[in-house]
Amino acid sequence: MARDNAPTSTISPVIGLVIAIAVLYFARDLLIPLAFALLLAFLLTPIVKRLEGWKIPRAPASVLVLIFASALVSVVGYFVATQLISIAESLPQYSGKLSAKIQALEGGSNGLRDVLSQLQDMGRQITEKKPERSFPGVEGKNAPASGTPAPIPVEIVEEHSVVQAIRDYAGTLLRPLGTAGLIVVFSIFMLIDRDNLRYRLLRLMGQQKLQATTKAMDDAGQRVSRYVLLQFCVNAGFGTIIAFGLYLIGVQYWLLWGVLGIFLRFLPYIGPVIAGFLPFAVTLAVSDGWRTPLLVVGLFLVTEAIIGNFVEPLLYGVHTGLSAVAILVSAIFWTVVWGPIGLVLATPLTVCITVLGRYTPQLEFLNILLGDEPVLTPSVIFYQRLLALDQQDALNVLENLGKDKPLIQVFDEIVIPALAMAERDRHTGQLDARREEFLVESINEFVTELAEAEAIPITGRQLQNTRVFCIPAHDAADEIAAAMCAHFLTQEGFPAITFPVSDSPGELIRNLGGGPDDVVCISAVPPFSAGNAKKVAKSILEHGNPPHIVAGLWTYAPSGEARTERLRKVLCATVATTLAEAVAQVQEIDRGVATDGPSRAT
Amino acid sequence: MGAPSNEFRSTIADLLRAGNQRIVLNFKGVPYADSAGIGALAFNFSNIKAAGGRLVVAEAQQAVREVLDVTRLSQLIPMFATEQEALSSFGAN
Repeated sequence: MARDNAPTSTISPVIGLVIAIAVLYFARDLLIPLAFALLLAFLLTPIVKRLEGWKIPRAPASVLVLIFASALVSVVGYFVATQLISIAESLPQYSGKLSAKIQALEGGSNGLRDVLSQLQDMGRQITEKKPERSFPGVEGKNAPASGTPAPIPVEIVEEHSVVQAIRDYAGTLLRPLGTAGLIVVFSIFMLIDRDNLRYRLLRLMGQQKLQATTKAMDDAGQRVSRYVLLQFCVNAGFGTIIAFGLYLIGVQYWLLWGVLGIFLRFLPYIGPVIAGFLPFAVTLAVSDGWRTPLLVVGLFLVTEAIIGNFVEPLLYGVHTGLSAVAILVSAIFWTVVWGPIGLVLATPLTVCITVLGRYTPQLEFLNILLGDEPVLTPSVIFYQRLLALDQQDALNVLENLGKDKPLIQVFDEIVIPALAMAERDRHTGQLDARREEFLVESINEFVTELAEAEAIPITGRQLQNTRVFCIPAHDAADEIAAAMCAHFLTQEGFPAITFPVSDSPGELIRNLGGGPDDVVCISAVPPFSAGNAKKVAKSILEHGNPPHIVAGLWTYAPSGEARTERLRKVLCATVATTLAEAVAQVQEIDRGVATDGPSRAT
Repeated sequence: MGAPSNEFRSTIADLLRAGNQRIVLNFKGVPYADSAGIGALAFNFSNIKAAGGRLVVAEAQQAVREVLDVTRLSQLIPMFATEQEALSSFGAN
């Protein structure tokens, strides 16, 4: 049965993906306005909510906001269009300057000039040569004899009627107008009926997934709204700098280029290039020399470099939850599927898809592939580097984390979990002897090196009275963890001793005169940590006059207070699951706070 | 912790296996002992004691002495100023 299901489960996502892409492509006329409307709704909902807060009902508030937004876009569009027309009309008078610049460029190279000249001649010959017309059906004997006048070519010109003209213009205008209308209608519907839409989506996803769906919708809404708002702010900053810079350089239409910069920058990657090319081309035509056009290029390059490399990664990296590669791949994907419009919608749509992957287990791969959250924890990376026998990389992981965190946390969060992973793999036979030896030796070396770097000599210090014996429960991994524990106890002023693995820990403690004034800290790395720790605790308790026992069940996660209490009773010891906890418990015992210490209670 | 402690531990184990039950550890060249080093010493002391033997320390430097004092091992492990004195202590027994 399982075998029958296996191929289906592998193929289904692929088929699903193909169908999804096909739907996206073939239904783009409907989906593009829908996506735009969704984006607008994300952007305008906070404003509508604000108006609702001022006691304006939702429907008028939504219509009002949308009218205002449409008016703003229309005004900006009208301004940009009139300015661009004005530029287009004035450009022919600057053709002389443009030719002079091209000639100046050519002047530097005779070769180039010759090639250009030859190309021009060739072009002239081609255009001057009249192609001989062939007349189907009049070839051969029926072809006109030489000397007879050539037939006059006849061109059929359609009569331009008013209806035809209206149809031509309407065809060009109606399509974008229709799309814009659809966007407005969808947006109004989404703004007014947003609660109803949310409830329907929740019902669609199933009531048992209420929590996950609610979280997903909130998360997507917050991320997309924040992204659109941030991008608008960044683009506004970009446009302002460009407009101000162009004004200082003395470029005409500086305000137009600034406004265009704001909107064109919504196109990832190519937007700033187009925004920069337009004023460059115009200044090239208008200005006398090269200085102004080059300054324009420099202004765009510097502004874009600063915003693209410093401002955006800082803002978007944190706020959209997308990796840089995901943004690039999504830009390509949506452009291929939906054309240039897809480029504008790429990032917000990918944010929505990533959020969907975060809250839907079946689509988790989307979050892993596109999200910016680290997919492996530092301890897994550390362990993986050691498995790859790359000691330096593994050490780098430790040192990088050590820059921001105290060593005890680094050991607790990376080294001990890695030891636990190694032990687990060793017990299941997945770790070969060579790697196991390399791993244990490397971790041992790292721990010694890092601990020595921050070690405070035990001599010449005011020390605590309590002596601590750190005893490994079973094997080398436990021994390394015991050494770590002893290091941090020594740092806290406790005379700590780390022992090798002993067959008879009880006898060892007795031979060293261990008693109620001392603490034994048993170090046990999973798996079987509780069982191994119990054996050691039993051995110590059997030898009479026992010391306090702290069972360090590293990375162990007892679920609930009751289980912790049961463990405490089974082990006859206080249970610590991290080095920090173990140190704290020894300190507590030393202070005499734990007057009913587990070893005494039994 | 580390290679020196492991080496020390295995050397003592080898000596015990070879039937040497009276052992003098000359610490003249040992400037400092960490918790693992002291642990290896205490572990070997316990093993020798359990085997019916005796372990003594000679020429321990001040830093090592202090560590043995704070861990109270100096009360258990006899310490001598010179190796000769340590060897003589076996004769006395």
